[in-house]
Formats: sequence, structure tokens, C-alpha cells
Amino acid sequence: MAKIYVMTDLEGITYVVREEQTSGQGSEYEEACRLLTGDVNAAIEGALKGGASEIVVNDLHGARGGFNFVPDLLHEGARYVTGGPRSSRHYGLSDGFDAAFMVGYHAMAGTRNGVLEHTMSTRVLVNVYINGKRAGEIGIDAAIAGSYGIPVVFVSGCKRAVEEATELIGDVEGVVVKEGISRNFLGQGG
Amino acid sequence: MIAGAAERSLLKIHAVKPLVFNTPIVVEVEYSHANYADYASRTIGIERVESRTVRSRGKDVLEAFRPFGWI
Repeated sequence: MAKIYVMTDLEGITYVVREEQTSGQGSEYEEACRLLTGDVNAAIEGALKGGASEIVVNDLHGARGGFNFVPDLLHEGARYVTGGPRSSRHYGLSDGFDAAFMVGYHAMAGTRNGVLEHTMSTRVLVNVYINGKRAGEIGIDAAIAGSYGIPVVFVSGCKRAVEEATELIGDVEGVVVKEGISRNFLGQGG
Repeated sequence: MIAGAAERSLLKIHAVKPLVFNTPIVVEVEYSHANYADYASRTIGIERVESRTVRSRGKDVLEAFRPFGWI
């Protein structure tokens, strides 16, 4: 029986490809929240089938103050961290968890054909280096989980995001839900 | 697709290692404009490197990431 901490973002969710979907003021934002909730629910369903005994899901996308899930559509088999301001981005994360998931993650800033690629902020940050190694949010959040001794075992996102995770973390279970032809243009869906 | 992968991933809990960087940790952040670096430099724990680049140091990632609000 395993305790799973699920980190979620919006840019790597199935069929999310434009900033109109990821900005809280965007005309397609509400639809993107439904897509996010669908991917999150699927991850929860799978984790429960795999034997998870406890699941905590953290809504880490910054729009609307970190309140992006559609409450009445959420799976009942998990607890949720959502809203803000927060005392901690990864509220509740501790060494009591056995594994972490990354649902809807995106490639680091500057990744060619990374769908909605960025690192923490689309327009503010250009590069982040950890001990000289370039990293994005996958690397930052995997390192935070790693500091508690928690491995990231599942990553979903665009092709470039999953490649980034595999290169950095190792043999994660990766799900390519879309493949970018450019930053805001998909070649195929999930 | 997601559900199936999530289910399979639990079999990898003991096979995938946590991501750990050698300590101490040095984080450098390059901003798109110098004014962001100006602003970040006001935070305790963040030092200026170049016009658009700042740095933090820590005994571990939690300490090095905290000044940037990533924890």
C-alpha cells in the first residue's frame, strides 16, 4: 500500500496548447480546467488500481491563485491541496509519501517544440541552473520530492516534457499526451 | 492511457531513485530583464551575479530554492 503525492500543472494537460487556456483570464480557461480535472482523475484511478492507499493532489498551476480543479468533477478517492496564498507550494509533502506523480507538466523554458514551455514564468525567467545543470519545473519539483527521499515515478505532458523527465530522473512511467510542432501547435492529441 | 501508466508506475517505486543533487546546492536564475534581477536581489539569500542573473546557495535544495519561493 503506497502513499502518493500528485503534483499537477496545466500546460502539459491533454489538448491544452494555448495561453488562452492557461491564463485565468483566458476565454478557454474554464474548459482547460475541465481537461485538467480529467487527467488528474485518470491518474488517481490508475494509482488506486495499482494499490495506492492514500493520494494527495496538489494544484500547482498559478492561475486563479492555484484553484484550477473543477470541484464537482474531482475523483473522491484523493485529498486535494488547492487555492492560496500558500505557506508552501508543496504543502503537505513529507517523507511519509512513497512516490510522487507529475500530471500535466511541461518542458523547461527554451525547449524547441515544447508545448507552452517555460520555467516558473513565461515572460520573467529564461534559465534556471542547479549546480550548473539547466533545469525546469520538472527538475525543480523532482529535486524537492527527492529531498524527502521520494521518487517521481509518473510524468504526463508533451513529448518534450516526458523526454526531459526521462533524461533527468530515469525510468519514470511517462505518458505523452501531445506532441508539439511549435510552442502552441500540436501534431497529435492524446 | 494516463490511468494505465499511473497504475504501472506504482511497480517502479523501488526501481526509480529520488532525484538528488550533490550538496551544497548552488542555484542560478537568469531573468529576461535586469529589473527582475534587481527585484530578486532584494531578497535575503539571493545575490547578484550579472545584469540579469542572480544566485542562491544552500546546504540542500530546500534551502537554496526557498528564496525563490519554489518550496
